[in-house]
Amino acid sequence: MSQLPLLPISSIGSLPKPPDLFQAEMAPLEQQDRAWMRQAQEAAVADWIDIQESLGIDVLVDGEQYRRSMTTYFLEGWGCADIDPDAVWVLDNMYGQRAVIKREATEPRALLTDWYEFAASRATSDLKVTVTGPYTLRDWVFDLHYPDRRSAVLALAECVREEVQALVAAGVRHLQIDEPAFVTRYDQPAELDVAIEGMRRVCAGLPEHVTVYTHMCYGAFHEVYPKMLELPAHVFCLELAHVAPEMLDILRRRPFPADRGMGYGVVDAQDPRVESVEEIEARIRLALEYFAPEQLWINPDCGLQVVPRDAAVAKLQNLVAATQRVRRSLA
Amino acid sequence: MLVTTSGRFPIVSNGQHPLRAAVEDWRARVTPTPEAAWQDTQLRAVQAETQAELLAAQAEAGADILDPGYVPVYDEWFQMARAVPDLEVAAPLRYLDTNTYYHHWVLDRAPVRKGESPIVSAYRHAASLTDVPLKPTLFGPYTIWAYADRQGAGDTPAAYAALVDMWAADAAALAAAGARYIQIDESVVLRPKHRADFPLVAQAIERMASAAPEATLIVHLACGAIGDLLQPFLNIPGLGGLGLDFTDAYRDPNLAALAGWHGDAILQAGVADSRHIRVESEAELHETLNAITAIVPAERCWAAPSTALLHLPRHAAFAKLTTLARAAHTFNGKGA
Repeated sequence: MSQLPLLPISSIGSLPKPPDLFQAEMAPLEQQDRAWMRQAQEAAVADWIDIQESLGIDVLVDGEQYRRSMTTYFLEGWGCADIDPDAVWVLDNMYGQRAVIKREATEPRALLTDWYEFAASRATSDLKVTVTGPYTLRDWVFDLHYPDRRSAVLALAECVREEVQALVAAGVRHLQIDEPAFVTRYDQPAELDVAIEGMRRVCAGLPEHVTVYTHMCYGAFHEVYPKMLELPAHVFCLELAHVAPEMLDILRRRPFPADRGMGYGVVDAQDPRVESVEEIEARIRLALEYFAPEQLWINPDCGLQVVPRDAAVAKLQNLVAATQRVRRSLA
Repeated sequence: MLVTTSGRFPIVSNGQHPLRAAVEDWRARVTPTPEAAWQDTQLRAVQAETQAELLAAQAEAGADILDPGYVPVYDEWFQMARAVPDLEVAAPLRYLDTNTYYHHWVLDRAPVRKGESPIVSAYRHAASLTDVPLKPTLFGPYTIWAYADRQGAGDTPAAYAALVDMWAADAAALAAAGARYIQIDESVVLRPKHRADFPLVAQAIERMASAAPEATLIVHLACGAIGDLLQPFLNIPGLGGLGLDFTDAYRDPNLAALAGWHGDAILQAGVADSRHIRVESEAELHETLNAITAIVPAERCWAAPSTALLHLPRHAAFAKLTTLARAAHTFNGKGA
């Protein structure tokens, strides 16, 4: 594994897909030309690995080029859900396919190992694998099988744990458990406890050399801070390009613990406008008022899948340039 | 007991719908702004066709008071911003605990309305297509305020009052166009952080009611328990009705709160869960309606989905509405 620099740069998860791949994956699995899909997905992963390395990203992702969505990919792949044919509105002109949980998992929980090995064979930099957390896997789908939310989350946590164990056995050292739904039900403390319990099950027994990240976005982080620190993550990757004053206020009153990392989002993942290097640099310098350089990671707010490919590349390019400027000033 | 809806509908089937294609085409042609959406005649024509389609689907399902079928470009907050020239609409934020996202407003001064909301125009079009009563839905001014990035002069009582004036003007325009019912969504006020802001919601409702006295204003409060806010809501001058959520975790606390119900307001009873794909049986719906009408007279109750059916796949949304209508109408037949 490479030695990471100060302010290491990481991608978050999804990256834009080639249009033909995006179109093809909307068809039901049984109607897809799986051989063509695999070829197109591998080409897209390889492309994004090359792009990220050429830009100077320190910890790469595979861009989730083979996932239809962050929930359906796992639930359908594990055999515990069917995909509803009518997609549901999410934002703007984006509609997401929803899984409907109907049974216990029937397929092996090792969907990602193969993709990790493919990406690792193409990359010289460190790779981070992203896995959707059990709470989000339950919260963002429909459940017709489990008697209550906690039962579903804990059952799904077992599936995620098996997926994670397989990844670690394959050599993964950077593991991101995405739990964006953690910030949605902050008025129901029991829900936060269920999410924490689920992620603790997932991470139980992981070796010390594995860095665990978690990612959350588009929520009121100040409502779940410092409660979020009960999640067993080393690094918290948050969407902070437009950080709320309330979050900064609570960080002043309750400083972020020195033994945890903050993955600070500095580019907007929904807005196709490309932020200038100066804008991004200002966001990093704001972050440095709240976090020590040694605990700060720099990343986009979220996966960049919804912005055009050119904008995604330009955003990453400016993110790297801004980070390098700040690194030089800290040296 | 009448059957109504609680906001907008899902449209796509198998990922496809003409409006989705039209928006994609529009995005490729112009910088997507609220005004650009408003000026695009091609886009508005497809929106109008979609309204006709959704009005017919609701009527077929058996609803008695229909949503006008308006589907905004992007989302309601984005599209409503066209009434305020030069208003910046910023990145989408997650709405409540849903996995849906709305573009929040940047308020750096008191907003000035220079045109009407597209919702008013959409209402006029829907009213030209049907004789069935319609209930247009507006996200309330407090919701816009609560999610807004407020700065300087945009974060003052005067700025909020200006926002309320805008909504009052839209309510008056809707009433003038013939709307007898208007739904105002202010669910966010039930969140713990926002409950103390109830006076702001009350201020807005009273102002809107006085601007549109001929319309019945229904304040819709989904995804939450009303608790000790029931009495203050019922005491708002001009309030025509309350929409409450009687599904999932909110069923029992909202049923308990009904013990304090009084007055002539309509209860828009959200008994069909708009957040769950399972279609309730008529017997289940009757059970909840029985519990509600033991306290609130049936003639003042409307049966409704718990919130907009937007959160469901299209086939499930209309299956729910159809079952809800059948259950409410057979409930009427039983004489309750």
